[in-house]
Amino acid sequence: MFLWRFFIFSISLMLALQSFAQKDTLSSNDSLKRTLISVKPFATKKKRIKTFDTLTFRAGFDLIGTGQRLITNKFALHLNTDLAFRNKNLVVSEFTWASRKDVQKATYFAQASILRLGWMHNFLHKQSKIDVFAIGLRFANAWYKEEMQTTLQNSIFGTEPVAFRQNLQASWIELNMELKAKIWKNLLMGYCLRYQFKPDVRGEQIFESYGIPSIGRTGRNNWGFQYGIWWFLGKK
Amino acid sequence: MKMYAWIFVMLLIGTTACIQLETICADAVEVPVSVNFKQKIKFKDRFNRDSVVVRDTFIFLDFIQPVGFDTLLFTPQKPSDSFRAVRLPYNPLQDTIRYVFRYRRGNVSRKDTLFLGYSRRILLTSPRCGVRNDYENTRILHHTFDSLTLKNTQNNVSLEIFYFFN
Repeated sequence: MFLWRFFIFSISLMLALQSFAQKDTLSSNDSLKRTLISVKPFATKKKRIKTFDTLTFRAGFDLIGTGQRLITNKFALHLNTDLAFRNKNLVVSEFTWASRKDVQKATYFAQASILRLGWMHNFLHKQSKIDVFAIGLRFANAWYKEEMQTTLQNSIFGTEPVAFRQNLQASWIELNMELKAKIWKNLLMGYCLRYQFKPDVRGEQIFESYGIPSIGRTGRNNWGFQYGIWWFLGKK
Repeated sequence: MKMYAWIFVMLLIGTTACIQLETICADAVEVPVSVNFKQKIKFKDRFNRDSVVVRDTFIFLDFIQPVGFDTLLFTPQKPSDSFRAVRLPYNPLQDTIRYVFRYRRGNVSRKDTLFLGYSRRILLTSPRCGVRNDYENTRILHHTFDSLTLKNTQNNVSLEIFYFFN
Protein backbone atom coordinates (compact mmCIF):
# COMPACT_ATOMS: atom_id res chain seq x y z
CA MET A 1 0.00 0.00 0.00
CA PHE A 2 2.83 2.37 0.94
CA LEU A 3 4.68 1.58 -2.28
CA TRP A 4 1.61 2.35 -4.37
CA ARG A 5 1.09 5.67 -2.60
CA PHE A 6 4.76 6.54 -3.06
CA PHE A 7 4.55 5.58 -6.73
CA ILE A 8 1.44 7.69 -7.38
CA PHE A 9 2.93 10.58 -5.41
CA SER A 10 6.16 10.43 -7.44
CA ILE A 11 4.33 10.35 -10.77
CA SER A 12 2.16 13.31 -9.85
CA LEU A 13 5.18 15.23 -8.53
CA MET A 14 7.09 14.52 -11.72
CA LEU A 15 4.19 15.64 -13.93
CA ALA A 16 3.73 18.78 -11.88
CA LEU A 17 7.42 19.66 -12.17
CA GLN A 18 7.35 19.03 -15.89
CA SER A 19 4.32 21.23 -16.47
CA PHE A 20 5.99 23.95 -14.43
CA ALA A 21 9.15 23.70 -16.52
CA GLN A 22 7.23 23.93 -19.79
CA LYS A 23 5.24 26.98 -18.70
CA ASP A 24 5.73 30.07 -20.88
CA THR A 25 7.43 32.38 -18.42
CA LEU A 26 7.81 35.25 -20.90
CA SER A 27 4.12 35.81 -21.57
CA SER A 28 3.11 35.45 -17.96
CA ASN A 29 5.76 37.73 -16.46
CA ASP A 30 6.22 40.29 -19.22
CA SER A 31 4.73 43.67 -18.22
CA LEU A 32 4.70 44.89 -21.85
CA LYS A 33 2.36 42.05 -22.79
CA ARG A 34 4.37 41.31 -25.88
CA THR A 35 3.07 38.60 -28.10
CA LEU A 36 5.31 35.83 -29.19
CA ILE A 37 5.85 35.51 -32.90
CA SER A 38 7.31 32.49 -34.44
CA VAL A 39 10.58 33.19 -36.15
CA LYS A 40 11.75 30.88 -38.81
CA PRO A 41 15.23 29.72 -37.94
CA PHE A 42 18.07 30.38 -40.32
CA ALA A 43 18.56 27.63 -42.75
CA THR A 44 21.48 25.62 -41.51
CA LYS A 45 23.43 22.82 -43.00
CA LYS A 46 22.00 19.56 -41.92
CA LYS A 47 24.43 18.08 -39.47
CA ARG A 48 24.84 14.39 -39.78
CA ILE A 49 24.19 12.82 -36.43
CA LYS A 50 26.47 9.94 -35.70
CA THR A 51 24.92 6.90 -34.12
CA PHE A 52 27.51 7.05 -31.39
CA ASP A 53 26.27 10.50 -30.34
CA THR A 54 22.82 9.14 -29.63
CA LEU A 55 24.14 6.49 -27.32
CA THR A 56 24.01 7.17 -23.62
CA PHE A 57 25.03 5.03 -20.72
CA ARG A 58 23.98 5.00 -17.09
CA ALA A 59 25.47 2.95 -14.28
CA GLY A 60 24.44 2.88 -10.69
CA PHE A 61 23.65 0.93 -7.59
CA ASP A 62 20.85 0.49 -5.09
CA LEU A 63 21.07 2.19 -1.72
CA ILE A 64 18.42 0.16 0.14
CA GLY A 65 20.01 -3.24 -0.48
CA THR A 66 23.42 -2.15 0.70
CA GLY A 67 22.11 -0.04 3.56
CA GLN A 68 19.82 -2.67 5.02
CA ARG A 69 22.85 -4.62 6.27
CA LEU A 70 23.09 -2.10 9.11
CA ILE A 71 19.72 -3.03 10.59
CA THR A 72 18.95 -6.51 9.24
CA ASN A 73 20.68 -9.79 8.53
CA LYS A 74 20.24 -9.26 4.80
CA PHE A 75 22.54 -7.75 2.23
CA ALA A 76 22.11 -7.07 -1.47
CA LEU A 77 24.37 -5.26 -3.88
CA HIS A 78 22.51 -4.33 -7.05
CA LEU A 79 24.65 -3.00 -9.89
CA ASN A 80 22.53 -1.49 -12.64
CA THR A 81 23.51 -0.39 -16.12
CA ASP A 82 21.53 0.76 -19.10
CA LEU A 83 22.49 1.62 -22.62
CA ALA A 84 20.05 3.96 -24.34
CA PHE A 85 19.50 4.78 -27.99
CA ARG A 86 18.24 8.38 -28.31
CA ASN A 87 17.29 7.99 -24.66
CA LYS A 88 14.21 6.17 -25.90
CA ASN A 89 14.94 2.48 -25.88
CA LEU A 90 16.99 1.21 -23.01
CA VAL A 91 18.86 -2.07 -22.92
CA VAL A 92 19.15 -2.80 -19.23
CA SER A 93 21.23 -5.23 -17.28
CA GLU A 94 21.53 -5.76 -13.56
CA PHE A 95 23.79 -7.90 -11.48
CA THR A 96 22.88 -8.66 -7.89
CA TRP A 97 24.88 -10.33 -5.19
CA ALA A 98 22.76 -11.00 -2.14
CA SER A 99 22.85 -13.00 1.05
CA ARG A 100 20.89 -13.54 4.24
CA LYS A 101 21.52 -15.41 7.44
CA ASP A 102 19.07 -16.22 10.22
CA VAL A 103 20.04 -17.88 13.46
CA GLN A 104 16.84 -18.71 15.27
CA LYS A 105 15.02 -22.01 15.74
CA ALA A 106 16.57 -23.03 12.44
CA THR A 107 19.86 -21.67 11.17
CA TYR A 108 19.35 -20.63 7.58
CA PHE A 109 21.88 -19.17 5.19
CA ALA A 110 21.34 -18.30 1.54
CA GLN A 111 23.51 -16.63 -1.05
CA ALA A 112 22.57 -15.66 -4.58
CA SER A 113 24.00 -14.23 -7.76
CA ILE A 114 21.29 -12.81 -9.97
CA LEU A 115 21.53 -11.56 -13.53
CA ARG A 116 18.77 -9.56 -15.16
CA LEU A 117 18.54 -8.53 -18.79
CA GLY A 118 15.79 -6.62 -20.48
CA TRP A 119 14.42 -3.75 -22.46
CA MET A 120 12.63 -0.60 -21.34
CA HIS A 121 10.86 2.21 -23.06
CA ASN A 122 11.57 5.72 -21.82
CA PHE A 123 8.55 8.01 -21.96
CA LEU A 124 10.69 11.11 -21.29
CA HIS A 125 12.93 10.76 -24.33
CA LYS A 126 11.48 13.88 -26.01
CA GLN A 127 11.84 16.09 -22.95
CA SER A 128 15.21 15.05 -21.65
CA LYS A 129 18.40 13.31 -22.62
CA ILE A 130 19.22 12.31 -19.09
CA ASP A 131 16.01 11.72 -17.15
CA VAL A 132 14.18 8.45 -17.39
CA PHE A 133 10.67 7.33 -16.74
CA ALA A 134 10.58 3.89 -18.27
CA ILE A 135 8.57 0.73 -18.21
CA GLY A 136 9.79 -2.59 -19.46
CA LEU A 137 10.32 -6.27 -19.00
CA ARG A 138 13.34 -8.16 -17.76
CA PHE A 139 14.27 -11.79 -17.65
CA ALA A 140 16.09 -12.83 -14.51
CA ASN A 141 18.10 -15.86 -13.57
CA ALA A 142 19.44 -16.62 -10.11
CA TRP A 143 22.13 -19.04 -9.06
CA TYR A 144 21.75 -19.59 -5.35
CA LYS A 145 22.67 -21.88 -2.50
CA GLU A 146 20.77 -22.58 0.68
CA GLU A 147 22.02 -24.09 3.91
CA MET A 148 19.87 -25.12 6.82
CA GLN A 149 20.65 -26.59 10.22
CA THR A 150 18.02 -27.50 12.73
CA THR A 151 16.83 -30.19 15.10
CA LEU A 152 13.80 -32.31 14.30
CA GLN A 153 11.90 -32.45 17.56
CA ASN A 154 9.07 -34.69 18.54
CA SER A 155 7.80 -35.41 22.03
CA ILE A 156 7.15 -39.08 21.19
CA PHE A 157 9.87 -40.02 18.71
CA GLY A 158 12.76 -37.96 20.05
CA THR A 159 15.08 -35.44 18.46
CA GLU A 160 17.58 -35.55 15.66
CA PRO A 161 19.90 -32.79 14.43
CA VAL A 162 19.86 -32.34 10.67
CA ALA A 163 21.85 -30.23 8.20
CA PHE A 164 21.10 -29.69 4.55
CA ARG A 165 22.78 -27.84 1.70
CA GLN A 166 21.56 -27.34 -1.83
CA ASN A 167 22.55 -25.46 -4.97
CA LEU A 168 19.64 -24.33 -7.13
CA GLN A 169 18.74 -22.09 -10.01
CA ALA A 170 15.64 -20.01 -10.47
CA SER A 171 14.31 -17.82 -13.22
CA TRP A 172 11.42 -15.43 -13.51
CA ILE A 173 10.11 -12.51 -15.53
CA GLU A 174 9.66 -9.07 -14.07
CA LEU A 175 7.81 -5.94 -15.01
CA ASN A 176 9.82 -2.86 -14.08
CA MET A 177 9.00 0.78 -13.71
CA GLU A 178 11.92 3.15 -13.30
CA LEU A 179 12.09 6.82 -12.55
CA LYS A 180 15.50 8.50 -12.60
CA ALA A 181 16.07 12.23 -12.47
CA LYS A 182 19.16 14.41 -12.59
CA ILE A 183 20.09 15.86 -9.21
CA TRP A 184 23.56 17.24 -9.86
CA LYS A 185 25.72 17.35 -13.01
CA ASN A 186 25.70 13.76 -14.30
CA LEU A 187 24.34 12.27 -11.12
CA LEU A 188 20.84 10.82 -11.17
CA MET A 189 18.67 9.52 -8.38
CA GLY A 190 15.50 7.54 -8.52
CA TYR A 191 13.73 4.31 -7.91
CA CYS A 192 12.70 1.12 -9.55
CA LEU A 193 9.51 -0.71 -8.74
CA ARG A 194 9.15 -4.25 -9.99
CA TYR A 195 6.71 -7.12 -10.01
CA GLN A 196 8.32 -10.53 -10.35
CA PHE A 197 6.21 -13.32 -11.75
CA LYS A 198 6.35 -16.74 -13.42
CA PRO A 199 8.95 -18.11 -11.01
CA ASP A 200 10.58 -21.42 -11.80
CA VAL A 201 13.03 -23.23 -9.52
CA ARG A 202 15.37 -25.81 -11.01
CA GLY A 203 17.62 -28.36 -9.35
CA GLU A 204 17.29 -31.11 -6.79
CA GLN A 205 15.61 -29.78 -3.68
CA ILE A 206 16.79 -31.72 -0.65
CA PHE A 207 14.49 -29.52 1.38
CA GLU A 208 11.89 -27.29 -0.19
CA SER A 209 13.57 -24.08 -1.28
CA TYR A 210 12.69 -21.29 1.14
CA GLY A 211 13.61 -18.20 -0.78
CA ILE A 212 16.03 -16.29 -2.96
CA PRO A 213 17.94 -13.52 -1.18
CA SER A 214 16.77 -10.03 -2.19
CA ILE A 215 13.83 -11.52 -4.10
CA GLY A 216 11.57 -13.25 -1.59
CA ARG A 217 9.93 -16.59 -1.03
CA THR A 218 10.15 -19.11 -3.84
CA GLY A 219 7.04 -20.36 -5.58
CA ARG A 220 5.16 -17.10 -5.43
CA ASN A 221 5.11 -13.73 -7.17
CA ASN A 222 7.06 -11.01 -5.40
CA TRP A 223 7.29 -7.25 -5.39
CA GLY A 224 10.61 -5.47 -5.40
CA PHE A 225 11.75 -1.93 -4.79
CA GLN A 226 15.06 -0.19 -5.24
CA TYR A 227 16.14 3.34 -4.55
CA GLY A 228 19.50 4.19 -6.00
CA ILE A 229 21.92 6.53 -7.64
CA TRP A 230 23.24 6.47 -11.24
CA TRP A 231 25.97 8.20 -13.15
CA PHE A 232 25.22 9.37 -16.68
CA LEU A 233 27.73 9.06 -19.53
CA GLY A 234 27.03 10.54 -22.95
CA LYS A 235 26.28 13.74 -24.79
CA LYS A 236 23.69 15.87 -23.03
CA MET B 1 5.89 23.73 22.48
CA LYS B 2 7.75 22.33 19.50
CA MET B 3 10.27 20.71 21.78
CA TYR B 4 7.54 18.97 23.82
CA ALA B 5 6.03 17.63 20.62
CA TRP B 6 9.43 16.37 19.55
CA ILE B 7 10.00 14.63 22.90
CA PHE B 8 6.55 13.08 22.70
CA VAL B 9 7.23 11.70 19.22
CA MET B 10 10.57 10.28 20.33
CA LEU B 11 8.95 8.64 23.36
CA LEU B 12 6.25 7.18 21.13
CA ILE B 13 8.85 5.69 18.80
CA GLY B 14 10.79 4.40 21.77
CA THR B 15 7.82 2.64 23.34
CA THR B 16 6.54 1.13 20.07
CA ALA B 17 10.02 -0.18 19.30
CA CYS B 18 9.85 -2.30 22.47
CA ILE B 19 6.64 -4.03 21.45
CA GLN B 20 7.42 -7.39 19.93
CA LEU B 21 4.51 -9.17 18.36
CA GLU B 22 4.17 -12.83 19.17
CA THR B 23 4.90 -15.07 16.20
CA ILE B 24 2.18 -17.51 15.29
CA CYS B 25 3.73 -20.65 13.86
CA ALA B 26 0.60 -22.27 12.49
CA ASP B 27 2.45 -23.37 9.35
CA ALA B 28 4.95 -25.37 11.37
CA VAL B 29 2.31 -27.81 12.63
CA GLU B 30 2.44 -31.24 11.02
CA VAL B 31 -0.78 -32.90 9.93
CA PRO B 32 -1.29 -36.34 11.51
CA VAL B 33 -3.29 -39.27 10.14
CA SER B 34 -6.97 -39.09 11.03
CA VAL B 35 -8.37 -42.44 12.06
CA ASN B 36 -12.13 -42.98 12.17
CA PHE B 37 -13.75 -46.07 13.58
CA LYS B 38 -16.61 -47.55 11.56
CA GLN B 39 -18.73 -50.63 11.75
CA LYS B 40 -20.07 -52.68 8.90
CA ILE B 41 -23.28 -54.47 9.66
CA LYS B 42 -24.19 -57.29 7.30
CA PHE B 43 -27.79 -58.34 7.01
CA LYS B 44 -30.27 -59.89 4.58
CA ASP B 45 -32.79 -57.55 3.05
CA ARG B 46 -36.45 -58.45 2.36
CA PHE B 47 -35.46 -60.01 -0.97
CA ASN B 48 -32.96 -62.17 0.89
CA ARG B 49 -30.00 -60.40 -0.65
CA ASP B 50 -26.77 -59.59 1.28
CA SER B 51 -26.61 -55.95 2.34
CA VAL B 52 -24.02 -53.95 4.29
CA VAL B 53 -24.62 -50.81 6.32
CA VAL B 54 -21.63 -48.66 7.34
CA ARG B 55 -22.00 -46.63 10.50
CA ASP B 56 -19.75 -44.54 12.69
CA THR B 57 -18.86 -46.33 15.86
CA PHE B 58 -16.60 -45.98 18.86
CA ILE B 59 -14.18 -48.26 20.60
CA PHE B 60 -13.04 -48.60 24.18
CA LEU B 61 -9.32 -48.07 23.86
CA ASP B 62 -6.85 -49.19 26.48
CA PHE B 63 -4.07 -47.47 24.56
CA ILE B 64 -2.39 -46.96 21.21
CA GLN B 65 1.36 -47.38 21.28
CA PRO B 66 4.01 -46.70 18.62
CA VAL B 67 6.14 -49.84 18.47
CA GLY B 68 9.64 -49.26 19.84
CA PHE B 69 8.63 -46.27 21.97
CA ASP B 70 7.41 -46.07 25.54
CA THR B 71 4.70 -43.45 25.01
CA LEU B 72 1.11 -44.60 25.33
CA LEU B 73 -1.42 -42.56 23.37
CA PHE B 74 -5.15 -42.23 23.94
CA THR B 75 -5.25 -43.84 27.35
CA PRO B 76 -8.76 -43.38 28.79
CA GLN B 77 -9.31 -41.33 31.92
CA LYS B 78 -11.88 -43.88 33.10
CA PRO B 79 -12.86 -47.34 31.76
CA SER B 80 -16.12 -46.10 30.21
CA ASP B 81 -14.34 -43.56 27.96
CA SER B 82 -14.65 -44.33 24.27
CA PHE B 83 -13.11 -42.96 21.11
CA ARG B 84 -14.90 -42.27 17.84
CA ALA B 85 -11.76 -40.95 16.08
CA VAL B 86 -8.08 -40.48 16.85
CA ARG B 87 -5.22 -38.61 15.21
CA LEU B 88 -1.97 -40.54 14.93
CA PRO B 89 1.30 -38.67 14.44
CA TYR B 90 3.86 -39.69 11.83
CA ASN B 91 7.39 -40.44 12.92
CA PRO B 92 9.39 -37.48 11.55
CA LEU B 93 12.66 -39.40 11.88
CA GLN B 94 11.71 -42.49 9.85
CA ASP B 95 9.74 -43.44 6.75
CA THR B 96 7.55 -46.00 8.53
CA ILE B 97 5.54 -46.19 11.72
CA ARG B 98 3.93 -49.18 13.42
CA TYR B 99 1.12 -48.71 15.93
CA VAL B 100 -0.40 -51.24 18.29
CA PHE B 101 -4.06 -50.73 19.25
CA ARG B 102 -5.28 -52.42 22.43
CA TYR B 103 -9.01 -52.11 22.94
CA ARG B 104 -12.01 -53.92 24.35
CA ARG B 105 -14.85 -55.30 22.34
CA GLY B 106 -17.50 -56.44 24.77
CA ASN B 107 -15.62 -58.15 27.55
CA VAL B 108 -12.83 -59.33 25.28
CA SER B 109 -9.55 -57.44 25.08
CA ARG B 110 -8.06 -57.32 21.57
CA LYS B 111 -4.81 -56.18 20.04
CA ASP B 112 -4.38 -55.06 16.42
CA THR B 113 -1.46 -53.53 14.58
CA LEU B 114 -1.25 -50.92 11.89
CA PHE B 115 1.93 -50.48 9.85
CA LEU B 116 2.16 -47.36 7.68
CA GLY B 117 4.75 -46.28 5.13
CA TYR B 118 5.22 -42.77 3.73
CA SER B 119 7.79 -40.42 2.26
CA ARG B 120 8.95 -37.28 4.04
CA ARG B 121 9.63 -33.85 2.55
CA ILE B 122 11.23 -31.31 4.83
CA LEU B 123 10.12 -27.71 4.61
CA LEU B 124 11.40 -24.60 6.35
CA THR B 125 8.33 -22.67 7.44
CA SER B 126 10.47 -19.77 8.66
CA PRO B 127 13.77 -19.49 10.51
CA ARG B 128 11.82 -18.38 13.60
CA CYS B 129 9.28 -21.21 13.50
CA GLY B 130 11.60 -23.94 12.31
CA VAL B 131 10.91 -26.85 10.00
CA ARG B 132 8.03 -29.16 9.34
CA ASN B 133 7.74 -32.44 7.51
CA ASP B 134 5.20 -32.92 4.79
CA TYR B 135 4.20 -36.55 4.45
CA GLU B 136 3.37 -37.91 1.04
CA ASN B 137 2.49 -41.22 -0.51
CA THR B 138 1.07 -42.67 2.71
CA ARG B 139 0.28 -46.35 2.31
CA ILE B 140 -0.73 -49.31 4.48
CA LEU B 141 2.08 -51.83 4.67
CA HIS B 142 0.36 -54.25 7.01
CA HIS B 143 -2.59 -54.44 9.40
CA THR B 144 -4.57 -56.94 11.44
CA PHE B 145 -7.94 -55.17 11.53
CA ASP B 146 -11.06 -56.56 9.86
CA SER B 147 -10.86 -54.01 7.07
CA LEU B 148 -9.17 -50.65 6.37
CA THR B 149 -9.68 -47.88 3.85
CA LEU B 150 -7.11 -45.15 3.25
CA LYS B 151 -8.24 -41.83 1.82
CA ASN B 152 -5.57 -39.43 0.56
CA THR B 153 -6.80 -35.92 0.03
CA GLN B 154 -4.68 -32.87 -0.75
CA ASN B 155 -3.97 -31.85 2.83
CA ASN B 156 -5.20 -34.76 4.83
CA VAL B 157 -4.81 -38.50 5.12
CA SER B 158 -7.71 -40.28 6.71
CA LEU B 159 -8.00 -43.90 7.61
CA GLU B 160 -11.24 -45.74 8.20
CA ILE B 161 -11.03 -48.83 10.38
CA PHE B 162 -14.00 -51.17 9.96
CA TYR B 163 -15.33 -53.75 12.36
CA PHE B 164 -17.71 -56.36 11.09
CA PHE B 165 -20.90 -57.29 12.86
CA ASN B 166 -23.23 -59.95 11.54
